[in-house]
Amino acid sequence: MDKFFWTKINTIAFNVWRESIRDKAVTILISAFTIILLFFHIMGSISVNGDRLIQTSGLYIFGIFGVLVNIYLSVSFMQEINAKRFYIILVRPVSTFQFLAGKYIGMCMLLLTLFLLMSLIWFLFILSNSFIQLTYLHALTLFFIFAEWTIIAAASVCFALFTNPLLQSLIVVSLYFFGHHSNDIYLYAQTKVHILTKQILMGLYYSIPNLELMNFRTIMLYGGDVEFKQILSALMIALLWIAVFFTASCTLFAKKRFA
Amino acid sequence: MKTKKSILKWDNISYSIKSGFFRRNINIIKNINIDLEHNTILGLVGANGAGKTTTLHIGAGFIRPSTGTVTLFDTSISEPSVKKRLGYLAEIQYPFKYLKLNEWLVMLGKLSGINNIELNRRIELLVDILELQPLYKRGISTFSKGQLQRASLAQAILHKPDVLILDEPMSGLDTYWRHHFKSFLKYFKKNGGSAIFSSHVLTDIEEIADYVVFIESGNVKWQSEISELSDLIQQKIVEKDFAILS
Repeated sequence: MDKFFWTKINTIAFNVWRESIRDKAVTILISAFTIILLFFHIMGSISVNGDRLIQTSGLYIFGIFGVLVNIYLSVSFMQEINAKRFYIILVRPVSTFQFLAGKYIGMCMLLLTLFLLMSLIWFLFILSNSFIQLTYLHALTLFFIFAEWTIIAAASVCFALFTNPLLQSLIVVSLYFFGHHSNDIYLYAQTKVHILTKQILMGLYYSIPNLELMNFRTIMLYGGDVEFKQILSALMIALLWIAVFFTASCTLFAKKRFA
Repeated sequence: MKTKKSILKWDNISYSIKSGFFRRNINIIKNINIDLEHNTILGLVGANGAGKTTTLHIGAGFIRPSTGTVTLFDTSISEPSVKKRLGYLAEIQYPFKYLKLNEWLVMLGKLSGINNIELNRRIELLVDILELQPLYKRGISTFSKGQLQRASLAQAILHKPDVLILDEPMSGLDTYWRHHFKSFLKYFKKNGGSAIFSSHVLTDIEEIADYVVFIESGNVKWQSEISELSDLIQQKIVEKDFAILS
């Protein structure tokens, strides 16, 4: 193996992160997140069960912002592909795998930076409310929201290789929406529907990551225990989907014919 | 020409793309055979849209040809390890939007597999030679076309390649830097390097190249050693082709 194998992946990842973090869009996103949270904090302080409102709104904004950031990053990646900016990297002894791995890890590093900043802001809002007690479930819920972000990032890299920005945005939003309604699709397929409809629904169920398996928001809000088996299976599913999308990206990139 | 060892070889290369609603096949390159031989500078000429850039992109391994193979030092260009010996300069530079010149060069040097000490030494030297000191810590997106072309030349030769692929390398350069660039190519050749470059300017080709390949509509129409070119012109074999270029 090339002795610089990991150095190359790290170099690409670090520079993807460095480029993205300097983009003003990142500052705008964080500011928007803070303003929205502040709005819900005020709403929560004048509502019955306001503590839940603050927590629920924060968690769902995390989800929506994850989709937005991923759309933004994947459109940037798409522009890089269309402008052939990656040629200068691939003319060097860098494999497709290293290039895409670097890109993906760099995107995840940016997502993590944003996520940590947003989590910090969210925690500050929560701590300012004396009715809310922090438990391990808060950390667990946040961890799996981040896992959700990374799955969407892997999918968006894959789709960026053959779609246009508008279609890409639609796909990412659909993936998030259907991913959270995966169980409903399964339940509907079990009802007395036409065999063809059933097959289509089951096909859809298996081809979309079940993001609900990673959703611990309800347990966090209303209390309850999470079994270790449940955490492990959510983690395995997240890793599996990342691997599936990443492998698909590598295959597509290798087969893609750049004009 | 044929006595030297071929180092970069386009062997029976064709390339087509699908276009339009019915995905019709459009042939961009048709059965091209080009040999870049050791210690040679090859000039690629042709009118706009003749297929020069596509030929160079295939040569650099960016595009997979529909048929045929490209080999660099007898190894397929699709093999990443062989690219250590290749340098590439594009006609249009698409710099990374928010990176500074020093960061960009360090990134590309590391991707070429250069260790940190050697990389710093090389960057220092190239920045000095190409007079990039005032731009060293500036964002690349603020560079003019000529500055960008010089920065791009720095990245192309950063890892001391044996072969250079240069697509319209002198476009955007002023007279001073055109002269320097030609001197650099001559120096590169003198030190054992080989290069292929595309150009519209015949005087550049005549001044630097040892060999010239004329491309028309994706085909190699003719190829000749520079020393034989005057005979071909006298025989009026290539006169019309040059009229297109001048």
